[in-house]
Amino acid sequence: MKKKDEISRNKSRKSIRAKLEIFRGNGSLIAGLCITLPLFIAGYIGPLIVPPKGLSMLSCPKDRPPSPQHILGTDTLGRDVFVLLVYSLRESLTIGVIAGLIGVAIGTIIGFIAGYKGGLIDDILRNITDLFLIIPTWPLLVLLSAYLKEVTIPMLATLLAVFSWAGCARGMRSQILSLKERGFVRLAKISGESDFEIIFKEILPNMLSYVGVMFGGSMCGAMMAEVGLEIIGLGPVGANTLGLMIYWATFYGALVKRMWWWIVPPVVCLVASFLGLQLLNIGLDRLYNPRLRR
Amino acid sequence: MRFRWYIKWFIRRFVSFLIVSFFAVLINFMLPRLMPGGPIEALMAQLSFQGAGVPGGEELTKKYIEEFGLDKDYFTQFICYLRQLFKGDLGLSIMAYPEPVQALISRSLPWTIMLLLNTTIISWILGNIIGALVGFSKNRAVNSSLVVIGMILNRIPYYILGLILIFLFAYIYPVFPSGGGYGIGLNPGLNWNFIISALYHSTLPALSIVLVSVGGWMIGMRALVVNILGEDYITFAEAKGLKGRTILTKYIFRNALLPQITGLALSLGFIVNGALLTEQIFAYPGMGTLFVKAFAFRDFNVMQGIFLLTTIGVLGACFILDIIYPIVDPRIRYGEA
Amino acid sequence: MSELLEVANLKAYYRVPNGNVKAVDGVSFTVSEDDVFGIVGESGCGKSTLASSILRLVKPPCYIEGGKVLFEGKDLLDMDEESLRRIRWKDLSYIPQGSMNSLNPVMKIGDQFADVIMTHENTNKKEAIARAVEILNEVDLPEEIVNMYPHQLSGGMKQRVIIAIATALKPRLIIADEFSTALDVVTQRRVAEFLEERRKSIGASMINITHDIALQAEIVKRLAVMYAGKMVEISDVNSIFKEPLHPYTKGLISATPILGEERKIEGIPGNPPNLINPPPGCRFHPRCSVAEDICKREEPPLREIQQGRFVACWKYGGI
Repeated sequence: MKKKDEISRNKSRKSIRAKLEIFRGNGSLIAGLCITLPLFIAGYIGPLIVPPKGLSMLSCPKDRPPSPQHILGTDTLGRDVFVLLVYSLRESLTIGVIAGLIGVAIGTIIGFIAGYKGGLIDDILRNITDLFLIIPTWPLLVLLSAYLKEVTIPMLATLLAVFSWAGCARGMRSQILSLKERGFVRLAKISGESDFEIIFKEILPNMLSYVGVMFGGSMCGAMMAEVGLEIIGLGPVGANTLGLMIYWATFYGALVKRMWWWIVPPVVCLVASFLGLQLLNIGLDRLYNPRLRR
Repeated sequence: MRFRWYIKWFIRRFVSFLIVSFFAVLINFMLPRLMPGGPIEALMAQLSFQGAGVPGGEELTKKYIEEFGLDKDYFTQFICYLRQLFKGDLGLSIMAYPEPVQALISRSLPWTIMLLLNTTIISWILGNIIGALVGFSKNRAVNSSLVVIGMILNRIPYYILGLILIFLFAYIYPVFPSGGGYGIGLNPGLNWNFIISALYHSTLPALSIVLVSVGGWMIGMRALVVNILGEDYITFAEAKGLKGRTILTKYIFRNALLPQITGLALSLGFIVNGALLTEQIFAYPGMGTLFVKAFAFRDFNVMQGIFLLTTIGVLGACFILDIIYPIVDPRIRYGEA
Repeated sequence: MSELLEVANLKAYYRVPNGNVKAVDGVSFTVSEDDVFGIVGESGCGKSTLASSILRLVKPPCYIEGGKVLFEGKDLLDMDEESLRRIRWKDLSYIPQGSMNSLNPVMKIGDQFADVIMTHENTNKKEAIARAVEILNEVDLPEEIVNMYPHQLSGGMKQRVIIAIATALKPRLIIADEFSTALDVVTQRRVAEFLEERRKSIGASMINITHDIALQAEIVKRLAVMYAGKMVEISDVNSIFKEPLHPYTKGLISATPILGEERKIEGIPGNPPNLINPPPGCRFHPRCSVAEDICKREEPPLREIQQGRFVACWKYGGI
């Protein structure tokens, strides 16, 4: 009896160790998780803990520096900066996640078709992808949003995704190309499996993990584009995001008034998000492509 | 033989450039027409945005219909549009009526070009040099810390770093001006005062772009150098007893710079994106600030003009890099053997 | 006869997380003038590391742990960088493994000749290129390749270019590391002949390193057999094939098919040892069919049992 317990204990210890193996030498992955996890927790658990008191305008005294009642002070619009920060973080992350998902979806489909079909279709799709990667997309993004008069959150997420899918498509295409050359796809083709079967039974299972890798980069790109829009006042109607916080801060001259508590927290959160997501991206990529492990 | 090949390459690239630019023009043309309401609606929206206090609103509307040929079919409209474009006419600005868009843009264009050119060149060169040094050095501590710093800096958007710099160096320690292109009351022109002032005012915006970009180039170059150092031809060069300087320049740099040139071409769009916003943060009198102002007034003509210009500008720069590349990389020049 | 190269107890290890891989663990041999010395052994026995160590070209995680490499009486391992740089190529050249990748992809072939000529013989570029063309003519390679780039040449041509560059300054000793491994059999023969012709014409000695024992038979005058980082037998080539002494050598020869002979091919059972923790005693004993007790305990030294014949095996006395 004792031996069985020992064996199962050893097994679970080994499997935990095996799971921790993936972190070995992968500083980026560890760092990425250490940064993004707290952000996500703060963004999603935060609003559950912190009551939305002080969120609406003029509900607090204006321009107060940090104090025991308002941990991060108040802004010129009479809002509690800390509460605002927590709720804005959630909005920003949500938009980023949605846009990131849409971007990955579009990018995967297009990259997949391009890589799998090859030939003329691949040429055309590749040129379109390169186009979106090369041209400055911000003016176009602003232009589109301006024409749309009112920008709701789903619209914004879609717009952002439209401009962040290209990186994903490229990565997906090269993965497909390398997979295509591997024996098992050729074997499947020879043994008469239809295209459809090949895609779903052979290729997709290998790709799913890569999709996860691409998501980090896609979300990062989407969030950066989002801030690029909001910082000139093009935020989604009615939603508080980190970018919008910065916009109002600059609009009301927080810099001049030395109101660091209004401008520094959202900036820190944004930079941390970008950095964390990028590190996660690198770390996951290294995990998935062990050749790159240094 | 190679000359003929180069001509073919040039033509292929040029045709590519034309096709893509054509699409940009097409988008510019279609946008106001595809959006809910059409161009007249857009115009109405613009006018109402301004409080309907625009002089000559009626004539403007009539002129629009005439210019756009909105009573004719799309194809004719497009031809008219193209004809106007070739004349350099980008339409009239709403917010600065009756100034043509082209005039507004040509005032801000030089500022943007100056900023972009300087920062891109400086950060590329500096980044490559530092990256190469780091790639060679055996000092692991310095290596890793520089890489980490570079990576962190690279992930901050230019304009966010710009905000931080303004905060630190324009307000807390007021060393630099917080914005503008040059001191108030100075006459723009080739006089010494103006030039000094312009340089002084462009320091912070340039710094925010350079600090971020250098990190990126440095990391790339370092990776390239480390890879190349492990290549067989470097070992062979050492075995040949060549002097260190020869190996460095002819063997290492020549191989490392080629991918960096490609990287430069690919990141131009990204750089322009960031630079435009950075200009706005600093109220720097370039196209970025103009664009945001046009956005505030919903001046679609100006916005579209800037979009077209930046897009074709970046495509043009890529085209130029594309045709220079075979000259420096013999593998492309002589094709796949 | 003065010895051109004398390697004494050379040790080169690789630092890895688990310990040190003792790739070259106390190797000694000599090469005289006008000698063609072969080193044969299976993959992973340390041959390439040996070549790199002689030239002091090893890179981390590999490092030279000890020993001497006396080239014309001077210890290469002890020299300063600048003196070593001067000796390199002019007196001691190298034909590396993987010659395909040894040419700089973005430099013309002519330039890659010229830079070595200019560095060691203080000429200007025009003269150097002219010399390069001369050499190409001498070795029957087309003159046009002076202006071509490596990717435009075939594998065999690149190999011959490398050999031409390696012999351009008429060195005293050439170390060739698996120069033919990446080539097809027909090209192998051509390149081998080419190399031998060239060697004779400049009067150099050569160390030829390869795992292909049949090739060695055709080229070398003396042959050394390497196993697990150590030399196990050194002899003139005829004696080795007629009368192999060490059990490993016997195994290698029986494993090689010989055209025209009807013989049963036998492999050598087992696997090469772990070089981080080699087995005690003779490193070959786990795979040796005639191993005795002492073989498992003590390592046999390399002893000269006849004129010019060395072997490291307890079967030949020395206990």
